[in-house]
Amino acid sequence: MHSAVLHFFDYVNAIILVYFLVTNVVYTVLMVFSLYTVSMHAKSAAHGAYADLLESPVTPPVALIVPAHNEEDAIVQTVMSLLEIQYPEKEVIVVDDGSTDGTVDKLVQKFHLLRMDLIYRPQATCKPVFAFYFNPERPELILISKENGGKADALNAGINMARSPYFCTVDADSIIEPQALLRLMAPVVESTVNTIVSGGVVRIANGCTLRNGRIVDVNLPKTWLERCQVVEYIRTFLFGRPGWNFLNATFICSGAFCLLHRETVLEAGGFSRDTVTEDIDIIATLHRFCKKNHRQYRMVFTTDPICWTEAPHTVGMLARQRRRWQLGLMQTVMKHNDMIFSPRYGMMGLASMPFHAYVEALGCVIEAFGTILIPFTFLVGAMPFSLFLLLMFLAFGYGTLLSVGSVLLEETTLRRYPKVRDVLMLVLFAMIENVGYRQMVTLFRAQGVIQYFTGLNKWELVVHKGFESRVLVEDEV
Amino acid sequence: MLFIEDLASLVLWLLATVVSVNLLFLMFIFYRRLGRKRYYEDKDAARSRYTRVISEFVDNEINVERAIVLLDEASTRAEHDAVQEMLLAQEDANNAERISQVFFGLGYVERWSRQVFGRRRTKALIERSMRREKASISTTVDRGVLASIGKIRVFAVPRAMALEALGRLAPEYAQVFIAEGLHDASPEVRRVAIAAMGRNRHPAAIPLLFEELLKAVEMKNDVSLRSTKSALVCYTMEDLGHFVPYLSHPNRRMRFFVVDTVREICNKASRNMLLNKNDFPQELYDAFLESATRDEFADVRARCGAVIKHFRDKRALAALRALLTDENDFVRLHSVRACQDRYYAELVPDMVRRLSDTRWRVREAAVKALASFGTSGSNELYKYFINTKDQYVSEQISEEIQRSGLTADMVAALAHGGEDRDLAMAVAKKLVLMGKASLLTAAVAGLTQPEPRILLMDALMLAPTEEFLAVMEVIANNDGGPVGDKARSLLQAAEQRAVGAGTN
Repeated sequence: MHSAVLHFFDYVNAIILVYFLVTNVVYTVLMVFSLYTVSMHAKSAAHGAYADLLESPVTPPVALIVPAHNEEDAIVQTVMSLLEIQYPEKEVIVVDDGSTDGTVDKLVQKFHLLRMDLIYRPQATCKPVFAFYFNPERPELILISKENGGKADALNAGINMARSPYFCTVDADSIIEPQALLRLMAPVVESTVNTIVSGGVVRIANGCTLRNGRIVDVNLPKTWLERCQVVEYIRTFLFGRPGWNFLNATFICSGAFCLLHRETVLEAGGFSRDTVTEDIDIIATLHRFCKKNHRQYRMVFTTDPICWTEAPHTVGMLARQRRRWQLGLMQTVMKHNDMIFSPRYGMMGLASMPFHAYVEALGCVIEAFGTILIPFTFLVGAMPFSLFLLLMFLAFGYGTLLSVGSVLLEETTLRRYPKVRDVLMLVLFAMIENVGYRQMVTLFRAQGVIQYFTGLNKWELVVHKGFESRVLVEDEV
Repeated sequence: MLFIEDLASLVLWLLATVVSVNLLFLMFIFYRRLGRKRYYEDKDAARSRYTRVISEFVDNEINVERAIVLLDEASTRAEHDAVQEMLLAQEDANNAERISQVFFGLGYVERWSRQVFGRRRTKALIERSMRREKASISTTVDRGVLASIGKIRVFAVPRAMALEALGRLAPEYAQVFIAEGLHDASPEVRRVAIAAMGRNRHPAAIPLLFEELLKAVEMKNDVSLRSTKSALVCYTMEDLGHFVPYLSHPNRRMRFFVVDTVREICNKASRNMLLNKNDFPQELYDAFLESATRDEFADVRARCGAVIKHFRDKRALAALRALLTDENDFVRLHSVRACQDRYYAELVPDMVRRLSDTRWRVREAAVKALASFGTSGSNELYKYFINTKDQYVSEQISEEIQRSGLTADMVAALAHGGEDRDLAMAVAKKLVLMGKASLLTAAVAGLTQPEPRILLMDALMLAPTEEFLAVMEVIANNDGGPVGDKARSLLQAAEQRAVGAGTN
């Protein structure tokens, strides 16, 4: 019996070891590609003719769609930041998704909106729309009020109302840098094939100071939880996504800030309501649609268009967010599981989908299991010290290397944290987030997987503090 | 046992490596920070050191030779960058040539050129540039193994940056370099060359840009069509004469893009001045009125109206009238949009006819166009709105009334009386019957003048909404004047009607 248990531990430990080795090898490859693409982009962006793009009548109009549900604390700042964005022709469409707070009232008061009965053609399916608010003196802003149906549903309502060939999804608790939309559009304009998705970077605004819808002072947040998330976001957006984009296998573009081709999205059926992460699902849906219809298309990810968003400030809220993300990831990979290892989808099918399905979606269970089992087997004497050290190294040491490397990449390319103290703090948290924080997030993710298999497919609401506490001056519009 | 010992030493080595690499990363961060700090300090120092020299040079107080001697002291990268930025910041059409000569004299041009074209080609190119040689019309892209290597971004990006700097020289000097840049294997470099051509607006570059445009139209270009078109749109009205030969290009899509580019140039110019036929070269004027309006390709006919509208004469009016009845709906759509100009008020009846067009997009455009004609257009729109049975057109018109703020004019007309009041009242009633009562309800709640409020209340009572009844309740409870009386009587009538409906 005792030897059978030991054999079982050996077997499980080997699986965990292989998992960590494979994951770290893939991350290393992605890191190399990302280092190359991010640094090259940073160099070429220095001579990027964004002013030309701003003045050019050839730059396509964009609709910025902001789904909002109970966002009264952040919505005004977000809309102000969107109205201030440097872009030749844009429409800002706020979709109030059945809020029960003062979201609509705040917008109506701030922007002097009037209720109107406008034409609305529901091409993408969504819940009924109650009212439209518009101000003829501010024709670029429209507020739609509709029955609660979730984020995907609200986005579909926004697409139905949009008139521009491209739309950009923006979270209601996000602040977009003034040139970010131009930077997001630049690869679209420069592309010789139809660019259907252009994604940008999301950063954490906790700790930053806002004025008139703009981030005026970038600071690190005060709590360890938020700081760990800052490092995590930097690592994800600078090391993961550019790497996949280099391989032409983009799997995720954050819905907080993502540009999409309206007609292609409508042809593909709009945002699907059968997953809780519509932003992951839409990318796989578009890949599938374009490949099936033999369309020439491109998806790009660029690192300098930056959107600042609020991160959860308590462990409870973080748990809710990560469970939802993991649940959405599981739903998406299972929904599109025929793409896994399918050569028809190129690198997307052969590399990106399998990695996201087996490592990102299901791997967290192995990781969570390993987090508990490795120390246990070591303590009961079922694991040699050296193997224990190797696993610990793979779990923590290598992670540290990746995190510190991403901070280094941030420092050499984007440099959004001007204070030396903040950079040192980032390095410190890049090292310590691997011990404790990462394991905690892994457990939340594993819970998300369990939720999927137990059928608890619900959207867990994350409550934010809102921007209003960090606003310096709010000018009259 | 041996395996375990090896594993232990491996782990220790790995750990040591990670710690060392992390330390190296940290040191690199500090090194970069310090390097950048030093760079900006040097740059600031150079700025303050050379400000006087550069302003004296720009003011023509010192000549090119003297400026070169004084600025040649700049030796570090930060100093070079400071001098380059300061000179370019002062650049305008009058001093561009002198500033370029300084760049030549300081050796900056040679440095940039070497980076893009290599040492071997630089000497000849600089000589050609100094002679202000006109660039040859060739956009053949370099091929071969070396060219393929040059396409890799790590090599292409520095070339693109250097070509960007060369493109900032005075157009007559820059032309040779940027034309040469069009041969580069990397699309990134060629894109920079094309953008520089647009910025410099050198007439000699127009044929090159059209060559690039043709390649893009025929899908043989890895620089996008939009990038090339953006460069062409940078040209001005004065350059339009050079576009005329391409209006009769055998490729119909090419003709379309030429017409569309001319349209963009005109629209840009019209933001600052009112254009008329005298602002256009005679050949272009004739080509548009005689050929483009009769082009076999509908897209060309559709876009040409937007250029013709700027001619503002009888011929333009006749051409637009003909285009408004074109067999192709896309042409009619764009022609209606082109007529949104008060000069073409004579075309209002033609546009009213377009309100019953078979295509909804044309009808929508006609509504917008008429709304832009002021009272004469909006009155026609109202009359049509009242009489039409076409629900789609009614929807379009009601949309325009709301979005363009015409409701405020309607309310003003209700207050003034006369024919306009009857028209406004009829429009208000139709809006209410269509279920478009929100804005009118808000007007009842927000207005102060009693007469238009009472009239609007009558109109809204045709199909009272919950919101309207709530507003009436408030008025009935708070207003002691005629508006309150009216609200009370209407509410009473509504109650009686409800009771009657319940009894039946």
